[in-house]
Amino acid sequence: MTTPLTPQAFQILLSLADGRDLHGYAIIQDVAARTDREIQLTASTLYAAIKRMLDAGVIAEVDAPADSGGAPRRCYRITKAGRLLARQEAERLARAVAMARDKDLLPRKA
Amino acid sequence: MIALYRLALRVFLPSLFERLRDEAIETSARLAEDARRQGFGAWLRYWLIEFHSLARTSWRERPPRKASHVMSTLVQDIRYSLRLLVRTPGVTLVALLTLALGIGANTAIFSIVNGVLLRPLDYPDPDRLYYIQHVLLSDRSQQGSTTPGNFYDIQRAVTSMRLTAIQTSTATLTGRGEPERIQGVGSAGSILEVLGVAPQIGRIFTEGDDRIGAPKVVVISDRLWRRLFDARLDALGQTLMLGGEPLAVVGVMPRGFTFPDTTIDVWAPMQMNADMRASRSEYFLTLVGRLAPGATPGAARAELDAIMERLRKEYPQANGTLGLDAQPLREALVGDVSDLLWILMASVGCVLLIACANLANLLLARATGRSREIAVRQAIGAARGRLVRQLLVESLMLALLGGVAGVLVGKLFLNALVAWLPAGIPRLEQASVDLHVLTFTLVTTALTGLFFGLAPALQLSGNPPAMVLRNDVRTSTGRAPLRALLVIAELAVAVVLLTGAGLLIRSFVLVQRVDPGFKTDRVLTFQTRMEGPAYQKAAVRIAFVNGIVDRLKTLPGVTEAAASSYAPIVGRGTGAWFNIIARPWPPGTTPPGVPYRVITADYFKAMQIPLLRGRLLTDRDGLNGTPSVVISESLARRFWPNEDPVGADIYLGAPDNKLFDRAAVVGVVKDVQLSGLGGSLTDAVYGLNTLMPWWRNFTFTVRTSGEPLSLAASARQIVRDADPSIATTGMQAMTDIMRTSIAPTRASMLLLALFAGVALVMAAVGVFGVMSYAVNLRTREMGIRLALGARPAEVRRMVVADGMKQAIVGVIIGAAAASWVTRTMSSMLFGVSPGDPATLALASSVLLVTAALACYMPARRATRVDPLVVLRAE
Repeated sequence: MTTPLTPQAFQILLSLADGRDLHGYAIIQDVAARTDREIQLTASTLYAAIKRMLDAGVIAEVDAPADSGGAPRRCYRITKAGRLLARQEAERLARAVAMARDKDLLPRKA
Repeated sequence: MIALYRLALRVFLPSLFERLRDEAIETSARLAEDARRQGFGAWLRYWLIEFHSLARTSWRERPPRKASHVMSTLVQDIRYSLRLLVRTPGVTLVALLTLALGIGANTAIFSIVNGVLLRPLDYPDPDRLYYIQHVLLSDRSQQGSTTPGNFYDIQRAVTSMRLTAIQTSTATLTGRGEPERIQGVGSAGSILEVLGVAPQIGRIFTEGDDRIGAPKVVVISDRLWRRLFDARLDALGQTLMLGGEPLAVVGVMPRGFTFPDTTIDVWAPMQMNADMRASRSEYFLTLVGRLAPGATPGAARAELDAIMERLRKEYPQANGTLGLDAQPLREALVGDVSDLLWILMASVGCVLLIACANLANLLLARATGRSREIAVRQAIGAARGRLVRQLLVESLMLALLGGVAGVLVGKLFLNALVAWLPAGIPRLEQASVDLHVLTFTLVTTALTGLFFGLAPALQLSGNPPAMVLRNDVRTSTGRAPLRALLVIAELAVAVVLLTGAGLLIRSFVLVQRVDPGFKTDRVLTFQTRMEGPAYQKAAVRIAFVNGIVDRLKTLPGVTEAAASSYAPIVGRGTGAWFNIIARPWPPGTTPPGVPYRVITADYFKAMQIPLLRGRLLTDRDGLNGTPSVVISESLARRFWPNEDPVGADIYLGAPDNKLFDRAAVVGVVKDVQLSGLGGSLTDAVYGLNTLMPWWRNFTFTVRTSGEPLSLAASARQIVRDADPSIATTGMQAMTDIMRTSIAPTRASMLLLALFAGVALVMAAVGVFGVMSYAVNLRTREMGIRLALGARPAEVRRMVVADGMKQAIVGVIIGAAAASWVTRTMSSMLFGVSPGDPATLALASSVLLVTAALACYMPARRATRVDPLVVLRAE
């Protein structure tokens, strides 16, 4: 993947980046909480993205932990390739932020 | 919604395989549930966003290859029709607005119908609950309460039902801040056991609790529990001073539990002593029963009839004329508003029908403009079915958009209606836009779309393409029969609505003209009730009431003051058997019951009720002086048709249970409307509170020289000074009571008038549209006629006459329908009969004039045509 990630896909990877296995609903909640509701995924966008990310091999399906209760549900886990992709995206964004600083769009670091 | 979402996912996001789709659906269900908890708006917003993002995702992820032929052409049709809607914004906007209002009004009224009439009662097995009342054998529509004696006899004998008796009443709550009046239900047996609802904490009272000597207990509502006890569990066992008696709180009903209506806050067993239990002359109990397991309503009714037959034989004087009637509880609770609601529902339905007819005409007009496009498509091989489908998809898309807007508009209408409708519509709080209502709106929307889309679709695709392309259709069909039919239907429906509204308006005017029998302006009224051991003695009660009346008279601005057991107009009161001592009723017959009022001496002066014969009452006319009563004019006419009643001795009640032993009729006063302006109850016996000293519940009436409500604070203070434990309630001006009494008539009149007005405007627009269209099609013909020397006036007359033919047919059909349909309204009318010829004639002429005007404008345009321009265009 050489094109930049969509913000949604990047946020999904971020939700999984600390090694937790999450199911769809939890990902939506996590993204909303982390971005202060700026990015609110809908079920349609989320699963369309999940489909693409599964196909690209950046995330993988795992069975939910047995003690999670309720109906059996699949969870998603970030793969090595996914972690690499997320890091590349983060670095790309960091470079973009540094450029913005150079141009005085953002305050320079003290 | 979920099902719709599932379908949409399958169609628009086919790349998601089965399991991911299931997961997406489950997740969206959870998100929707989260949103629903924040309210209906959030829920709707959630689905709008979800579908919107689905559409965008679908566009981004569109597969290179079409999934299936049918689906892809459907998607094509939808896209095409959306583009078309955007391309003709004027037509689209008018159509959407019409639909949003039409569907919105239907959604709102249906929400009320659904909540009030259709939704089952919130008790277990609600269909097995019955409301049982006495009816007169001679007229089963006359219903009434029963006596304790009858209740206990029936309860003991009946096997097919579990029976309880109730009485609603108010009691003063003291000891917790300002004294206040609480509405409650007293029950012999246990109403709560019969209803079968478990309390949220504590216990309900049971049949044993109504025995004399059992601890006095009360079950309270969730609302009262939160208000008085902050929803604390230690409310159980605490004591409420109700009506001067300590009652222990033993249970709290769940939130949302109401019986029989939302005003009730306490339910308590009614402990009657042996005398009371045997009474057959005091009618105050209403029976509620639940069918025993396995029993059928028919068997229960038969059993009740058999028991009543026996009670008639055993106690002919008390029961001789009475039967029993068991009515499903829901019907009884909803009462007579069901007529009103169904009529409103039918009216908004009619408005929507008219709107559909107009939309069909609008689309027809637009479609005619597209007849060339359609013809070309047909000529190069489009199948007729495919064209019809595309046109139907167009109208359905329009309807769907209108339906979505309609739900929002409906929600707004509903909130406005609930706030605006007069109090007293039972279960109105149950009205909400729920799943049933959404289903109703969806079905209505789909039918609407089909209805206004089918006509244009069939008509257009039915034209032979060759003729259209040769430009022959425009000239060969000067008038379109379909459009004429639509206009006729529209006018007919409008006549029906207008007649209905006209009848209600006339009723309202007539009701307002009724003479109430007393002067209503500048009278302040309020109520008090003397309760508890302090008021055991008659002398104390008399002193209290007369003391307050005397103090009220001393207030500046007060010209007269008095008290009575009930105010007139309010439709509440008490009655008793009427007996003339010189003419006893034959043994074994039930004496006639008449309303009576307990008053203080200056009541007639305070209310300004004119004296017709004899004299008014004075302070000396009580038990200890010269026992006397005054009667109303209609009562005098009823029992002394050709004689002077003054001087006759009477008593009220049963021989073994008299309200007073003997009193002389000393005067006759003018009739006063007791049961509302539209009511017919004017018979009355007036006696002093010193003649009937057991009465505890008084309405004070204060006649003032200025604004009556400005005296409210002083009046309240007078009661507080006399006894701080007595609550003052119902402080209002007599004119407000009058207004409340006609509020339901007024509300239904205004709503129906509104619908009829909308229908009239829509019908006018419809006629105008069709006539304009017809004139446009005939422009060339007009031009030729004018060129050949026809006078403009003739041409105008011809066009108007053409249009009026349709109008007259429509109005005749409408008038015939109206005279038949308005019969369902008879219970809402006053002083005017359904199908009243004057009203019918008026409604018909209004529509004919409107139609004539709507025809005249296009006709005038037709004669302005310059013949040369038209002919040159060839």
